Amino acid sequence: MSAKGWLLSIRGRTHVAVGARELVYVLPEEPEIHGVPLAPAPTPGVIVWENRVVPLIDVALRLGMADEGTGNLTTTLAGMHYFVAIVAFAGDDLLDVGVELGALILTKVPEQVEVSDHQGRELPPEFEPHAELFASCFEHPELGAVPILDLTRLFASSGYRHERAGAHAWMSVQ
Amino acid sequence: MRETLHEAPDRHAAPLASLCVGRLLLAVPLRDLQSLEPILDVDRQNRDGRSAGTIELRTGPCPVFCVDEALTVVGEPSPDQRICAILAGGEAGSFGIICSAVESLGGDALASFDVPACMAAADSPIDGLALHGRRVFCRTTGAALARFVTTGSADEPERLLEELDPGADEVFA
Repeated sequence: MSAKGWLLSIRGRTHVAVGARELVYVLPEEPEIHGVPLAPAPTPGVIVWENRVVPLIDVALRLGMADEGTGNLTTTLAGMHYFVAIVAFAGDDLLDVGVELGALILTKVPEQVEVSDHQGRELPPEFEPHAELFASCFEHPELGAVPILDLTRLFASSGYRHERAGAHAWMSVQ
Repeated sequence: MRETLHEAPDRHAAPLASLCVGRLLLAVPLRDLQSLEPILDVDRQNRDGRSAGTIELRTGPCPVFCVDEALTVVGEPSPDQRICAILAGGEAGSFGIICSAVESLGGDALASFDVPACMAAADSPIDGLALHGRRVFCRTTGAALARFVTTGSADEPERLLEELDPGADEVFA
């Protein structure tokens, strides 16, 4: 069996993936980011999309793979051209909220990818500290290990608070 | 719980006052806004470690605070901050926040959202977000803001104790 998904470049050669139906839209321009005071550095603010307030996450920062700098997104992304992708994910079962929206900072336009069962592999050590944020991992022929994000858990955790129970993976290729 | 991005229509009814601090737009219940005073009336001689001074009200001196876009208490207002909004701070009493603009927001045109779980901070006075056109407001209350600017945490003492020692109430009940 195989499953389709999207390859997301989050910094340099670091890639993660999401399921085909989880990527909703890629904004053509860098959106206005509305800061939320005291929010952790990887989640510096929200954007407005389709009359909804959508939280924005810098996955590279969340995974500790980019310099937080001052924690100010403007500083972190200064001089860097980036894209913002809108993603959809299952809300918390406990709250019965259905589908939620989030936004991710990317450095390139997403590429479609098709992954077969035999490509499944262990999470590489550099991603182990954040293993709870991944549903699984696959071997890309050119990029090597590519973890698949568990968007529900990513958007349910701030990085310095306890994970909530009940979150589950939406996509798994294993 | 306030951990989803779903609208919270039950909070639409109360009109809000918007306080502009740089690019930060705070929204407090309009009933928490007591008066607007010119910054020239702030007595800078009475500033202490956190407050930027005091302003004399009919009820006596009222501490005035200056914050930046990150809600960090700072000693000096920026040049565009010329207004002191006097807010009801609950048990903390009245206090002032220096800002550049204040406006009232009709409740009808507002859509309220919970703070996203990934942005939650235990000691934050921000308890929700509001969308008005393309502008996003950080919702708070006079009481939460007063606790935050005076202590650096919006948590009530009882809640802090509960987080440190869950179940302590039962032990002492």
